Order: sequence, then structure tokens, then C-alpha cells
Amino acid sequence: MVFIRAHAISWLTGLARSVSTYVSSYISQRASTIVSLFVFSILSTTSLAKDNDQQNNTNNNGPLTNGSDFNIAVASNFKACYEKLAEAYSQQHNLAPQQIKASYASSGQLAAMISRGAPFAIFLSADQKRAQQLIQRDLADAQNGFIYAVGQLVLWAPKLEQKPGPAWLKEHGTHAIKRLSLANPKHAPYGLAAEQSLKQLGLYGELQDKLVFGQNVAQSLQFVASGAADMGFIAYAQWLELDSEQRGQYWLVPADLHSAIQQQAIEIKAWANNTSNDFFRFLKQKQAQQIVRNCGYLSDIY
Amino acid sequence: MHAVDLQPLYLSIKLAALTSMLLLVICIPLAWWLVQQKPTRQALINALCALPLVLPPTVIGFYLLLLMSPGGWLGQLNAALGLEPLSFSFRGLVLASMVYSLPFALQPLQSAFSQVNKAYLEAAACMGANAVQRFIYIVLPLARNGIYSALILSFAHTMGEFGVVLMIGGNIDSETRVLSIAIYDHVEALEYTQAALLSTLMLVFSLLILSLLYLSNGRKAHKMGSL
Repeated sequence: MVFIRAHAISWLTGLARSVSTYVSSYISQRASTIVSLFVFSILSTTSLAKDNDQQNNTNNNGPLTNGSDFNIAVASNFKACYEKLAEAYSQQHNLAPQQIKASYASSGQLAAMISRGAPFAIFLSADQKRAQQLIQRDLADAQNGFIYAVGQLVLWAPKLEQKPGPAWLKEHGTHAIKRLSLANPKHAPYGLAAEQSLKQLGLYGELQDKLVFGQNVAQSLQFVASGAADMGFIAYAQWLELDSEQRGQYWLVPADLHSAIQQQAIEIKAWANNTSNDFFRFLKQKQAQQIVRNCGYLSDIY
Repeated sequence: MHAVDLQPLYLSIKLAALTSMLLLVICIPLAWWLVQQKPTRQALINALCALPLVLPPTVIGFYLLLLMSPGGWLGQLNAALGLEPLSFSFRGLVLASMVYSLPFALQPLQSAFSQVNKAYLEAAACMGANAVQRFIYIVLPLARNGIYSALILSFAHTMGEFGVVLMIGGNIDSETRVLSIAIYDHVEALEYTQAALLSTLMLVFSLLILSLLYLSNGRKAHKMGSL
């Protein structure tokens, strides 16, 4: 009997070891970007549960209704501005910085995670489409959502001598530009705006072969920053984040050349609590909107 | 629903086939040379060649992008040779895939070559065969399983390549938009039906190719009397 049990245990350990080796090698070699995002969301869930136990949460209305911690999903282009908003809010309300945990990813990935139960109380999307998707699934209230920022597009040309405005583009665009980067218009709002602007100027046809698509506006910036692309469309907020030596020439694309990049904020009903409600209200106020404007966005409210 | 574009599938197949062929051409002599080195030198070069195994693909892609850009030395070498720029081109992808799949081609070859019995080579040398003849007529046939494994592994690994292409591809239609990128694009654009279709296609195709390759490998090995 003892012999059979020992044999079973060694067989089970061997099986567990081989499974874990296979799984770990599979994960490390395939789709590391996507898997790391899922691991991050799992880690944030477990750490949230731990913090909750430390608080005196005796309420039975839901996991976090009276807790003072929450997770917030932020579109990656808004990261720098969000950090300033979080700092202002924390100072005002005397919160410890770890009480609001932010996750940054593309709006599509965040929306997909939230629709599968990721514990985010607030979702700051880079567009309206993803937020509307979650509202349609009844994960958030339609009347609660609002436009927290309107994005501005910039054509950044760090190696150029003149401003890459429409006149320069029409005259020199075809022969002077080797590679022009933008975010993927199919799923990135800044990429769509860039494509629309080029079409409005009538330059899309001649520049089409030179276009390079990044997965998001951050990758578009990386292509230009690394020198792989000569110039590219990025967010004005990103351009303001650059060092003065990196900045170089740029053209702020007029808002009438593309449909507005309206970034919508929604609160997820299942995970909202008092602090998240408060932060959500804070984002609509004058002080927060002033910070948003200073970061390079336009305000829809003021 | 937009129709599913099959161009990424053909591009992936083209990339995987080209990469695995080129890797075989480079890794067969490299593996044979490595196997004959002293252990310390072998260990050092092995460690270098195994780097793509442990580095995240995005890191490989990131550094390759820097190297291939006009300021990096790969980009400058390319410009000096008068060729089209490497970044965001299919040629750049092939180069990156070769770096990424190098250990998958090299290691099976190394283990196959190290199992070749020296007695056969010495006997052939006694009978007058030179080094090249010994390599072509004795080493390669004996290491046939290893060559097939290297081919299969590097092909399969390149078919599934995502992180590196994401960093240096630029997602250009019919040039660098491979299947894994296309599936990811569809998911990002919330087109889950197309993504599922392409994923199933990729799964079926990969299974087919791998079974065919393993079948032919198995049959030939059986003929030689091994297990």
C-alpha cells in the first residue's frame, strides 16, 4: 500500500514537472506580449484581493463597494496625463498612491479584458467605440460616460529643416519622404485621424506606398524616434512629453481635417466603489480638465 | 463583415519557408564546425547562439529595429551596399526571423552531428575521401534526422513568430503583414469572426505541414533500421 502510494506520488510529480516545463517554454516563446498582459491583470486582481483583506471591509454588497482601492484601465496614449491627474487627486484627498492601480494597454485590449470580467472600476478609452461596446453589454451606464479629453494629432519630423505642413507635403512629400509612420487606422483612433487628414489633403494616394503602421500611436512614435521612419503622426500629448533636443519640427494637424478623437470615460458598474465614484467625478471638474488641456488635449467640457 | 484576406497566410508561408531554408544553409556548416571545437569555445558560442531562446521576442525586435534603422550599423551596411532599406521590408523580416529561429535550427543539427561515429569518418579518410566528401557522403546522410528536425522546428517557429514582426514589420500589406499580425489586428479591431477563421486556418495548415514532414522523416528513419 505504501509502495503504491509512493509510486503514485512520484508519477504525479514527474507529470507535474513535465507539464510545467512544457507550459513555461510554450508561454515564453509564443505571444509573450498578450500573455504578459493577462498575467498583469491576474496579478492586479490578486493584489487587490490582498489589500481588501487588510482594509476593514465588512460590507456584503459587492467586492469593493465600501473599499477605498480600485483599479483603473487607461489607454496607453493617456498614461502621462493620467499620472498627473492621479497625483493631483491623491494630494487633494490624501490618498496613498497604491490605492489607485492603473493598467495601461490599447483600448481594444482593455475593453476585451473588461468584457471578460477584469476588475477595473473606471475605463479611460482612447475613443468612443470601445466604451460604447461595453455600454452595449450593460457593463456601464450610458448616461454616466463623458468625454474626458479630445486628442490632437501632430505630424512629427525631427530630422527636417522646415515645418512639415500641407504646403511642404504637397511640394516635397513624394520624393523627400521614404517612410511615414502612423498608428493602424483599423483600430487606433489617432491612426484613423491621420489617415483621414491625408485623404482630406489629397495626399493619401501618392504617400500610400510609404506608409508604415504601428500597432498604436506609441509605436508610431518609436518608429520615428529610432530613425526607421523619417516622420510620423503622433499625439500632441506625446510630442509635449519629448525632450527639447528630440522635438524638432512638427505640424499640429487642424481639427477640421479629421473626425474628432473623442476619448470617453466610463465607470464599470460591477467594480465601482465610493472612491472610484469620487475620482470619476473629479475627472469632470475644472481642475482636472485644466490638467488635461495642459497635457496637450482639448477639453470637451470647458 | 469584411471578407477574410488570405494574403497574410501566403506571406507567412513564404517567410517560414525562406527562413528555414536559409537557416539550414548557414547552420549546417556552422553546426559541423562547432561540434569539432574544444568544449570551452563550443560552450561560449552555444550560449551566444541560444540567446534568442531566452530573450523576449520584443527585445530582439527592438534591438533589430535600432540596428536596421539608417543610424544603426546594419542599416549603414545595407545603404553602403546600395540596397533598399531593411526596416519595414520583407528582407528585414527574413533576417530577423533567421536570428529569432537560429537556435531552433542549430541545436538539432549539433546534436545529430555529435552522434556521428568518428570511426566511419576515419575509415573514409583511410580510403582517400577528403573533408568535403566525408561531410557530404557520410556526415549528412547519418545526420538526416537532425536536418529534418532543424527544418521542421525553424519552419514552425517562424510561422508562429509575432513579437519580432510586431516590432520591425510596420504592418505593411503584402509585405510584412504576416498571419500572426493579421489575427492580432482583427482581434484589436473587434473582428472576432475573421480572427477565429484565420486562426483555425493557421492551426490546420501547421498541423498538416508538420504531420507530412514528420511522416516523411519517420519513414526514412525506419528504412535505416533505427527505432
